[in-house]
Amino acid sequence: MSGEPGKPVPSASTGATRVAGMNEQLCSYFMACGLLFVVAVSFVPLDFVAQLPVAIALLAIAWFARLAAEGRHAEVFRLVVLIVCGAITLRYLAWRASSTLHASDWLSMVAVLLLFAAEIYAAAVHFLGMVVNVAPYRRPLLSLRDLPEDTPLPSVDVLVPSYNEDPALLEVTLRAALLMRYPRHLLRVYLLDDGATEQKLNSADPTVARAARIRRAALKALCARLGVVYMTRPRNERAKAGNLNHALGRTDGDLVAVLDADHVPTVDFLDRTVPWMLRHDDVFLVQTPHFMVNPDPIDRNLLDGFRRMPSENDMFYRTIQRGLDFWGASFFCGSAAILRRRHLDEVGGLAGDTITEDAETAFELHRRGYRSVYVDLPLVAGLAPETLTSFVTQRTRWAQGMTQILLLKRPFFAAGLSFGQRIGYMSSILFWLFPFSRLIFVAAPLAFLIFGLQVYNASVPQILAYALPHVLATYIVSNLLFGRTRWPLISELYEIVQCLFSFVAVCRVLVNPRKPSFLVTPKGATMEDDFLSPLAMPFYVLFALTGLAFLGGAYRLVEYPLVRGITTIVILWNLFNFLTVLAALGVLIERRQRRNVPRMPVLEEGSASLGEGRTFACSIDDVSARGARITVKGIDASGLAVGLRFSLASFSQAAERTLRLPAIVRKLEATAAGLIIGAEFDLSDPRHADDAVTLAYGDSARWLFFQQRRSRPISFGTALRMMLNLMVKPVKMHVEWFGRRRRARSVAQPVAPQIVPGSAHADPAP
Amino acid sequence: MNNNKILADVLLARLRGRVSRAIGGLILLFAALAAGTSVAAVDEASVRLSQFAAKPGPLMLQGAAAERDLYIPLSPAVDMREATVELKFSNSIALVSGRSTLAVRLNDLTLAQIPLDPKQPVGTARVRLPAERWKPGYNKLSFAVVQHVLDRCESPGLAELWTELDLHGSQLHYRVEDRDRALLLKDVGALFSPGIGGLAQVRLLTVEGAAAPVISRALPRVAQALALRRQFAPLTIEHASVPAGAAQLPESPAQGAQVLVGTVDELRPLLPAAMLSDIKGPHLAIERQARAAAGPASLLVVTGNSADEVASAASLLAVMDDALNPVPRVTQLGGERRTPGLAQLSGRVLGADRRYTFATLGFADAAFRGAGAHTARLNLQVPADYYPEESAEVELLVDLAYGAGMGPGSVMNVTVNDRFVHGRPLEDKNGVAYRDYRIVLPARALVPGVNTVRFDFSLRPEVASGECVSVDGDHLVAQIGGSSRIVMPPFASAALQPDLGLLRTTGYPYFSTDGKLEPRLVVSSAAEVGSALTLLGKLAQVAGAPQEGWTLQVGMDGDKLAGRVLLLAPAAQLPDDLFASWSAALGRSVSWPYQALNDMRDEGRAATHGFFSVLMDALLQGGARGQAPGMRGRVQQDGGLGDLGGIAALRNPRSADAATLTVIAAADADRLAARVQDLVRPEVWSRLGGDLAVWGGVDDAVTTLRVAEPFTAGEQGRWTQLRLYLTANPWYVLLALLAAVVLVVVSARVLLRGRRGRIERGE
Repeated sequence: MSGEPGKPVPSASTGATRVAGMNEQLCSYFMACGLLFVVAVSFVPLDFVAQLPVAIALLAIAWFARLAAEGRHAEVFRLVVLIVCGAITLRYLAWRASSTLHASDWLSMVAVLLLFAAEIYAAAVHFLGMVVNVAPYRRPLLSLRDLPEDTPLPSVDVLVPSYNEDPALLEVTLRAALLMRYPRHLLRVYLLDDGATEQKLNSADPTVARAARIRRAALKALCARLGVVYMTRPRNERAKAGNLNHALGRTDGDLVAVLDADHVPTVDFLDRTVPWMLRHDDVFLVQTPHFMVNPDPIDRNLLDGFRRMPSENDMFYRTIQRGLDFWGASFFCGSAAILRRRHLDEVGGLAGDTITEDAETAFELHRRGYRSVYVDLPLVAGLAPETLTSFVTQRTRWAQGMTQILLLKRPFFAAGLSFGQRIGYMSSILFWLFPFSRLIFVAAPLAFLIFGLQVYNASVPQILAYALPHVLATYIVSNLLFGRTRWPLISELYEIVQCLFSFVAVCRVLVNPRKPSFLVTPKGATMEDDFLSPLAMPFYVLFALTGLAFLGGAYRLVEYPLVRGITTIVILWNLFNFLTVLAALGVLIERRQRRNVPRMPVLEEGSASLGEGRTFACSIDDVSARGARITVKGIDASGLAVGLRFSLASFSQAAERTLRLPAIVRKLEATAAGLIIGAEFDLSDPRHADDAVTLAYGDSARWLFFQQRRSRPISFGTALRMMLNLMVKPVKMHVEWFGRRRRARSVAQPVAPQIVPGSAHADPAP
Repeated sequence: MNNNKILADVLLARLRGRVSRAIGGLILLFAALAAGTSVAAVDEASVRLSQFAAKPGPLMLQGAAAERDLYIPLSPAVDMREATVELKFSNSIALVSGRSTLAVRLNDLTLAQIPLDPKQPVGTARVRLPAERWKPGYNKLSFAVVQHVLDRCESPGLAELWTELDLHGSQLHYRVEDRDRALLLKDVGALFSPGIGGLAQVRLLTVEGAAAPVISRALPRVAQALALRRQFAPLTIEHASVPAGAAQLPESPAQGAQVLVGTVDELRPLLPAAMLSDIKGPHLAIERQARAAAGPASLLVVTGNSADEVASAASLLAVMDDALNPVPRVTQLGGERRTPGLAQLSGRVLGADRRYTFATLGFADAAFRGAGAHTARLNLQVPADYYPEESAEVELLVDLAYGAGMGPGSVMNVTVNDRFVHGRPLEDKNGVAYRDYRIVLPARALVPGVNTVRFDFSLRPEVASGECVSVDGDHLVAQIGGSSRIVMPPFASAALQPDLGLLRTTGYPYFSTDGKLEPRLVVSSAAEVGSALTLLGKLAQVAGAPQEGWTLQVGMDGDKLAGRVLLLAPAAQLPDDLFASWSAALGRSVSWPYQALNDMRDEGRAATHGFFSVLMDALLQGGARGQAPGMRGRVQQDGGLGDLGGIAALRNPRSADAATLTVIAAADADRLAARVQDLVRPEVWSRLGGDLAVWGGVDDAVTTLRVAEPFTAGEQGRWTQLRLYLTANPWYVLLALLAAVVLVVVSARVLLRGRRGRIERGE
């Protein structure tokens, strides 16, 4: 091929790229035209008699496409579902905007517009979610072992910020960090203690000063024992971000791994993440999911589905982050990640304009054109908040921080971000404004049933022709995108629990975006007994209001026969809210938890050596860093007693060796499955402590298996039955709780909740 | 309306024994003629009381005490000289004689108390209604009963307490006399009053060779103006041409009037010089015209210096308030229309997105006292092409009050067009007053045309215990204020055509709020002009306001049949191509869609039933078309219409736009005139429906059929047009969406794959 003299000859690959680029431009053009046409057609006016067959046909197409999206050409059918359902939602919104926004008085007009605004918000989040999750990307698993042997590896500083966590909990995390498979000379672990700063030591409050001194001494001794560097700073400024930045200024590793105090890494954490840093020089972040080894308060107090239903954060880490990764927008979640120091130094370390400094830092680095990677493999095991208060505290902080980013950084207009990144950030941020829409969706039926405000001007046939298909379409999309990681009706429950408090918190940020202060989230607390959450009262008020609305509805059914149809529909809407609030009441009774280190269920095989040559095969049912529960078959229980010492052995895939741990029998129970032994490990030898940590937390495959086992979709009917079955539970729990309280008062025994402070930690943003 | 019958009755009455009065009248007449003085015209007739009743059938008076009223209009142009009502009634044989009576009142004065005899349950009575108790306008003739079956106290609602008045058999005999005074323009309304003594017939005169606009524009306006003064009573209009240059007008018809229409030049030989000198522009004048017999008649002159001025004068006749013109002549000097796009009808119908007080809609404060049933009515005139959104609502904000002491069973029920919409028990013992008591109706509860909202009160006193102890209920009071309001929602203008039912109730599509509408009245020859104007007058009456854009055209050549056309012609003269695309034809040969060949079981076009039936319709038919047409067929045959008249509405094949052609035909011109006379009478007019109707005489059955494919008409904007089209063809929306979906999916897949490739390559 000849070219012009003096000019380079274009290569074939360049030409192919150019052709591909032109094809993509053309496709972009066609897609834009197609989307515009969908929008235009969605706005054409139709009487409901014509809208109905159109909607039914579209729903049928969407439903069949949804079923086909599990098989061949899944990608195509997935797109069909999203576009068709999006069109149904657009038609609904167009009808709402053109035909229902009117009222006879100004108060009703305000209610009408507020409800519509809430629906617009929900639709916007829905559409953004569709774009973000259109093609979730699963990266291949890399390993350092796949690299050539002479590949130079970067040095890694593992930073573990701490505030007031229990030293025992810190020890597990630090041990696990040291046990990560990585050249020892390139790995340094730092404990960043913000609980014993000079400022605290010199506090005017002698109790605080004393506690700080004790803490510093204990943690220094722990670090010395483990071989971890202890670090603190003069003042507690800018909370976790300040703590980390202080450490960044005094460390020099090429990479920085950030682990929260309760986030225990597996042995292959660095093995799986560092290769991405080596592969691409412009990657500033490799983020991994936050896997929780204990249920959150809603799950524990009410749902009791930790082992069989997806965890609440699975939707974000197992689906949404993969979607963000496809668009190059997966962001730093504050822990379980490694960052490149060079890039952090460019932005002055962790950002501090907002209280979600993690997402903010990622935003700044994305703007500079650096890339992030998301590895969808659980490589750390952390703790979810134990109490409703701590859960709400955590979530309100995330809501405030994301709102700050929205107001201060304005991602959609920020220079340097790609279109996909803008969508990704806006989707993640706008989600946190859900309290507004959730409260409006709860309040709207009350406004109609109790106060007679016209919040929704439509006839029953119109609702069935426009609104019902829209609801079904959103369900189909949710099922498609998140069916395996979020069961139906669960989102509504979590939103109801948070909305009241998040609403207040977000309003504060809207008034003054720079004001919110960092609130640490307590972790690792134990509760000696059941108790009523201090956050209960607003839920009781909400429950009373939604209950009262039924009386209003009954009155309106009798007094206004002409609008019985619409009244019935609003009553059903209120019934949904009522049942959700009723379920939320079940969360208010905090159930006791006496273990501050939860046991994780496992399916491991091992052997128990009881001495004198007696060794029995056993299955390890659950394990923590302190003990395990094993089942032994075919054993003669005579001669066994509590206090007996034995040795538990199990092969660790992660450590690639057999772990042997001395243990003491603490509990014996004979069952049909065998003899169940509750054992406590003897950790007097530091090597055994390491093995216990490795056995309990070292294997990422175990976490993956556990996640995948509970990642299964269920139908809406099953979810509804499950929720309805839960309705009785809150009532029963409250009756029992108030009954016990009355009895306790009658015998003058204290019933105040016994919460043993465990730890307080600033959690990373989702 | 039944002047022929009245004349016949007069003749019969004279034969029955009123010879002396008639002879006396005739003597007076001849004497007056001989003396050359004018003599007041005398009209004597009998009418059935059923003609003054809102509903057909006997008048039932039930309960211990009941009262019913009939309202009898009396033209202000006449004086009542004598009136007698001859009653036929029957009563329950269970009544107690001596305690049961039927009272007859005229304008609240009791004139007679007729004892009700259980031994003679069928009776007649003749009651004289004194002439001095009559007044111009509506006179209330009341029938009140007091009935008992026991000599002690009894339940007032016993079934045995009834008396029935045979309104058809009962008659009002009257004699009225023209008021002998000079006519003024303020008397035009009185002359054409719908009441007793009002003129039911008029002749419009033009000069042969009159300027075209006189015929085409002025005559239709005059016809509408006079018919509207008749309100609901038919007006027979004749048309005659005076030979050019003739100096004398033809004799006025008996009990009628003449209207002379033409330019000054055309009418110069016929008008007095004094009037000619006054004509300086569009001019109206009225005077008595001497007749050789039957007393003087009225002559109305509509003239001007040019044809346009004549048309303007005709418009003035249509718009003027008679009471403001106590003069015999008036010349229009000028005027302005600030909203030329709006027809006069827009001032009578309810507008979109507007509020009206009840008082401005003719509903004065209604106050009810005493126990019993009371009703207040609010008439709402809605445009003929009223097309609201499905979710639109009409609000009634009622200023309602009721007094203390209401007993059980006191309620207020609200109905719209006889459909119940709201009920409220009046159960606050202390009474209560509401301001803006809100009643919400679906907008589609109102129909095009006149809607009646009824507020039915049932006021009952508290229950008193003890034998013969009762509370009389005089203290019970309920009120609805004229300050109450109605709030109309936004609505579009669209109507399904053709629809003779809509024509019957509103005059649509020939009458609308659009001031630029130019419907045409086309006749095959001058002989049909009178019939055409009679029909036009009837349409103006049902619309309630004139439509100024009417043009009258004689002859069917050229493009005269394009647009919205009302065509009257003998069947043989109708162009054959008019009915080419239609299932029926009224031309030289007729085509009839016999019932044996057509499945006429049409549920109608609107979705009127439950949601699931509508759903199935929509799924199976895919839109708002209603059921697919079943069996269809027709037979073409000769033989003509015979004595029948036919009216057919169809999409005008001569128009490119969607316009309605309505054809009225009969076998020949005479039968056409006779059938039009029958058509405008309530007996026939009230039964129009479908898009084809055929009738014989007044007492014959009216056959209606629906044979044409519907189309939409109206002044709708493009958005409404799109809505209507897509609603009828929703699958186009679906196909368009699916095409867009395919485009997006294919493009997106390529783009997503490209991006995935880039990620995998690490770009």
